[in-house]
Amino acid sequence: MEPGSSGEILIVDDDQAFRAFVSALLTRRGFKVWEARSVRDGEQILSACRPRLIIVDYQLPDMDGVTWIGKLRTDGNDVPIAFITGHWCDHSTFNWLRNILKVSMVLQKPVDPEIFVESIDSILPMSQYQPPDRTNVAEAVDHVSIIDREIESILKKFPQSNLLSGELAKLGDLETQPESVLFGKLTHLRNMLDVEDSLRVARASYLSQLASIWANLTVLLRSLKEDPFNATAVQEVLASTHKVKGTAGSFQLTTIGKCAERLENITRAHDPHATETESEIIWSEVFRVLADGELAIIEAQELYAGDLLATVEQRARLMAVTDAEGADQLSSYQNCGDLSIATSHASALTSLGRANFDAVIIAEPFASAPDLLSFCRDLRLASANPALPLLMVSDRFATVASETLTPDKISYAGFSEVFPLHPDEAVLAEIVAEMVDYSLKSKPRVLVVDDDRALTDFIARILFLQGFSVETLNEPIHIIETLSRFEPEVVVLDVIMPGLSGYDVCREIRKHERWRDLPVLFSTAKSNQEGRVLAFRAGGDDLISKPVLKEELIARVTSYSERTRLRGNRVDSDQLTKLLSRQGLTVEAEKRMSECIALEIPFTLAFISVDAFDEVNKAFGMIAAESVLASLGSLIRGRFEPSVIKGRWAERVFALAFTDLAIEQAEQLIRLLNQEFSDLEFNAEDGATFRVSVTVGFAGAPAQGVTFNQVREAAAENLLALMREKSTA
Amino acid sequence: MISTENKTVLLVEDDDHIRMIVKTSLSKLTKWTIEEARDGFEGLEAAAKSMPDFILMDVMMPGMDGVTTLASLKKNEKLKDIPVIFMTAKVQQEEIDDYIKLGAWGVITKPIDPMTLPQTITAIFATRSAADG
Repeated sequence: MEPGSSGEILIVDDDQAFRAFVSALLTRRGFKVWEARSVRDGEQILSACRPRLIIVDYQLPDMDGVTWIGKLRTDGNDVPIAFITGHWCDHSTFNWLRNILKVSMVLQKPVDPEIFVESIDSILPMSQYQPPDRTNVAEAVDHVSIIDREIESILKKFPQSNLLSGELAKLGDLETQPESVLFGKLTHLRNMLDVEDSLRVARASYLSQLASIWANLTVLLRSLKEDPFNATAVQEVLASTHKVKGTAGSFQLTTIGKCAERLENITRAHDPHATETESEIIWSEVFRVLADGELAIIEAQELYAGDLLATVEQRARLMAVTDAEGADQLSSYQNCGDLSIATSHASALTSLGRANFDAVIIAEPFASAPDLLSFCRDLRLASANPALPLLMVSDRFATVASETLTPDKISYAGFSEVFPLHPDEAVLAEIVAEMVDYSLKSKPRVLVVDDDRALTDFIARILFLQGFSVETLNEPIHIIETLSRFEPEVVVLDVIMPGLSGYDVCREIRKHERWRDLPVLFSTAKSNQEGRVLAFRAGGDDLISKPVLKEELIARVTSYSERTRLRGNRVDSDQLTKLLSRQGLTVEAEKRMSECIALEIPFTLAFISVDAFDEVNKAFGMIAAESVLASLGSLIRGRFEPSVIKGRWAERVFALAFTDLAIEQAEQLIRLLNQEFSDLEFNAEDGATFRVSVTVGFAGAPAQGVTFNQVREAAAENLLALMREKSTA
Repeated sequence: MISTENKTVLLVEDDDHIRMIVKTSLSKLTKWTIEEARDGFEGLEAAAKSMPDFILMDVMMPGMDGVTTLASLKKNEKLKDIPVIFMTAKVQQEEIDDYIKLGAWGVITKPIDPMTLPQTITAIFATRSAADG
């Protein structure tokens, strides 16, 4: 037992709130508390330590508490046990627990902290445990502090909540209620705020659809006015209004729901034989309600635009690959982004292809290291984002023997960070933000210019979810500096803005040589002939009509950004291997190397040359030789963490630039690459199979040079020397 | 406190938004397991597969609507005792009474309040068991 510590207590309960409550109570009294949410976790802890007391809940996910206690006793474990139950414990069960299973105490939930602490004092043998002075004044002050801390943490987590203040007021007098009851109420409140938070984003997306639903409704009602006997229109209006009434209302968009209800009722009473005066009154009412609804939709969109913005800026999209149990335990990770769970490799790869994630967290108890290695490569190759960051949760890799999954292998597999299951949340948030920031740089960039903030945020949200990196600009006067800083691939530009019109902005853009080919899409309510002519005359590439249709926006922006990429790619990237070209790599590596030198961290360059390439070409044919290069390229693409710069230097030579990694460490990683590559089997045109190896030359800064040219020459010389050695051997 | 019993509920609803609201509410405020289906056909299939403790079902759905699905459930020896709660945007009392006569356990009217949905369901169960008991 550590000096000053009263000993260790294990609590096994699947109710996280109750565990936290008990843990807080006992920690304050000097105990070290181990928490387990299932029998399985409890047993794992017991195999490593011997607590003074075990607190066991009745209902556990994998076994009931009584059965487990019976098992512990049969196994000869005689640690004092406190049994806690939310159900009434009948007489015979009580006797069984006390006399046969030797349970020291049976407690009923909700637990009063005073009684609980007193009971613990009574169980633990006095010689080993000195209860603190009960008259201590600090104790009384401390009474509210667990609750205070919980309230504080809730306030911090849900600053935007509309429910929070009202619900907190409903808690009543904090002083007079038992802590466990208050804690239960706060847990429920936290869950409610969680619901509110999740629905906020869903509501924003619903609102964006609602505008077109409402427009369609307007069209239907117009056609019914023209032809009162149009029974199909009646049915469609009824179906549509009925749905909006239920859905909008459930999102607390009350006015919109009420308008839909009013339209439903009017349409239900629709009489095609009504007199002219009657129908005039009815139709003026219909159009008034339609207008009210439209206004309410716009107001709601403006009101909740902030939600969209907050989401754009703050929420990273994360995918966790884990089992069901891991999904439960990743709460710390949930706080730093929108976390989707994939419970199998196959589903992870499918969802990665469908949605754009900012990082992948792997927290699966893997059976073998080779599985993990090949899965990581598949992930990288399946992702549209070549710089997809990978993060490992190490606690869940208990079954992998440490010698098979060495730090080198983890880094080679492409993991940027290794974290425990419950990391320091501030550090985690910072690192995730950094990784996301990094991955954003490799996404296609779109600049949205409009004086209306609600609109830019709306467009930004849609494009963000499609995997674009988006910036918004509400003051068009800053266009040129924003372009130079953000370097977008597409600009979406509003036509009518106060001060500077979209046409003027576009003309200004075209004045600069650098932006002459940048696609500019005008968003305008004037998509008629005249509008088109003006837009093209000003140098625009295309029009998107307002109100903006999500699908149209996505389709146009995607096609223009691909066009820009293709054009840029010809210079920057290598067609066969999809790695950077020599020029692309040089630009990137020069930039990063000077950063490394300024920060005094190592920079390492490696040239990787395919051995006996001419012989392969001659013996097995050009197609086979090309597949060797393509395979090495895709292997390189699928490995290493995102900060490693990867390129094809010459026909058979690849280049990797490592920042913050010394030559010796880089050598370790490249050795793994060589191993994996030499294991690949290639097929010649005549059906013969063969394997290929590589030779690698290294050089580092500042040891071999302080400019990229010096380092490059040193690496090339080393490579040549090694190749000569090999050929003479 | 909301019920902590581990129940399985089958949610049959064609509207993605409503499904999302109900699912968010129940998954965060209760410990129930939530199964989903998009229409009556899927609902019947899912019910037979997962044997839920109760079914939460929309009335108006394309394909097989709620009333027809309820009738099919009642005809099935294995599924007939699974309580069904309807969700509907209709508010006329006589319609609600009709659903009860057809064998629904209860009716929840839309708009739904996601904050109190679990209590609403628990209250329906409490009333029913009081009436049955």
